[in-house]
Amino acid sequence: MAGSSEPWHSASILQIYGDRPKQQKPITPTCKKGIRTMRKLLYIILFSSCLFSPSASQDIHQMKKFSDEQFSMGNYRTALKEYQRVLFFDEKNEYNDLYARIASIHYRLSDFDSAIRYYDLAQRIENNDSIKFELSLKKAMCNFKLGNYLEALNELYDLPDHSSVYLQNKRNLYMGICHFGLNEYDNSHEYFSEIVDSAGVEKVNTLFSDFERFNKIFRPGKVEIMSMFLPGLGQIYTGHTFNGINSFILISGVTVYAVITTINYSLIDGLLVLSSWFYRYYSGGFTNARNFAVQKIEDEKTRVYSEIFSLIENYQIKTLE
Amino acid sequence: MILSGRKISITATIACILMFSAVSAQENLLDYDNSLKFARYLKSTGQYNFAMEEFERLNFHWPQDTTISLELVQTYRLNRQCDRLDNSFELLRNNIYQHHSLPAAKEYLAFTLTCKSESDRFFDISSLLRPHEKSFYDLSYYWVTERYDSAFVYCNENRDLIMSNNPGLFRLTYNFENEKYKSLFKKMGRCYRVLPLCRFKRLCIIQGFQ
Repeated sequence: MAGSSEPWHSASILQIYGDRPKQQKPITPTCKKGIRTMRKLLYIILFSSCLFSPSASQDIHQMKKFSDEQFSMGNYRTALKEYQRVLFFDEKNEYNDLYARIASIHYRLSDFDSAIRYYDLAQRIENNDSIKFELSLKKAMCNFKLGNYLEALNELYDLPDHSSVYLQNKRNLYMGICHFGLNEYDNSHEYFSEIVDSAGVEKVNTLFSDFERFNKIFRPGKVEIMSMFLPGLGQIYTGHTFNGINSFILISGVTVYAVITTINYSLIDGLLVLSSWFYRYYSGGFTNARNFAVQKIEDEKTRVYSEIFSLIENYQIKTLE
Repeated sequence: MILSGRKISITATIACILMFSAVSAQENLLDYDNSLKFARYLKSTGQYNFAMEEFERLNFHWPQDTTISLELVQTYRLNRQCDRLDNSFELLRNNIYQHHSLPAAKEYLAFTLTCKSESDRFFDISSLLRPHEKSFYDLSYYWVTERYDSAFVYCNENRDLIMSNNPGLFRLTYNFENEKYKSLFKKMGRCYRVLPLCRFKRLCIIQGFQ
């Protein structure tokens, strides 16, 4: 069998590769069967290699799909790495939208500096005005998170007026937040009022006027002076009664002790006793009072801020309905 | 029969060529070259955690590749993963002792210095380097492990070598040593900068006249 298979083997190879054999040899039925078997084998090998090679390799599209899946599953870290891989090998710039996606992952991972950098890249390559506008707002949001209200304001001032009411409202909202964060309440009031309806405007007015009154009542400078006149008064005024009484007793005690020392010894001795202790408790007392007032205003600011937000949220829901 | 068979074979060949070309056009992003490129990109952008993962994957698939192990250790160092110091030695061991790779030896020494680790094998590995490099690493070792007396002694013993190759480190070591012998008054007044005598004394010490 081996001896008989030798001549047709080389001939069949030449046939497959399209070369005409120079010397035609007689083809026996066994040869024909062999050719068929070999052809079948060749088909199987070639097709299977074609079928299985793509599954073994990971091309850019498959990698993108995998990254998308990781993102949707909430595996942001893996998604971030694989999206970067896709972008790194994306020579045809097919996946430019990934810059914004990567930025959003950084945002979710609280890496706001990187998020800003990627939003910036996404903005540069984006052609659609509305998306560019949205990306700027997202950058501003990252700056809020970092407490860079001035940077955010700078970003928002650069935005052109947009025909979309939704985007314009969003911009006003962000402007309001910026000014509120910078303690510029009049400007903030103006921007917030532009977002809500007439009923909402009244509520916003009330909130801001109440907040202004609150600021006047607990003005840190005023509270500090109160504690300077009567130790402990500023603390009690800001609601820290125990701290106020404690401060009053301490300073009174030191004063009484200094008076007794002065009577028994001399004025200099009295002053020496008084000076260090009195300074320690007296200055500490009015500094505390000032800090309490600042803290009280901050707390009120947070409360007003959340109330404004719920007001805007309600208005948005009403509009959508 | 032969003709029809030939036609089929040509068609099959063309089809297969097309399919192969389609398959070969797909770039495997996880192959050696692409993974290495991407890992280097991650390292260069300061994403050391991701770079580490990528190099570790590469090292798993190609454990004999000395470039990968070297870059992996470098990434550990840049990420200050001092818990991987021993592992790094294992990764570089063959590279250092069998292939006598200077970059690998330097990388391990640099990693040890970064971690301020007091390793027994430090001087063993530094002895493989050229003398001026060895003196730099050895002196640095004394500095980072806060053995200032040893640093001064070593500096004295290898004065010429260190002074010619690392004058900055040489001056630093001597100045630091001199601080110990200064009186409180001198330290407060920084008199050596004002009085010529003091400057002269310091110069004498540096020049080795004392």
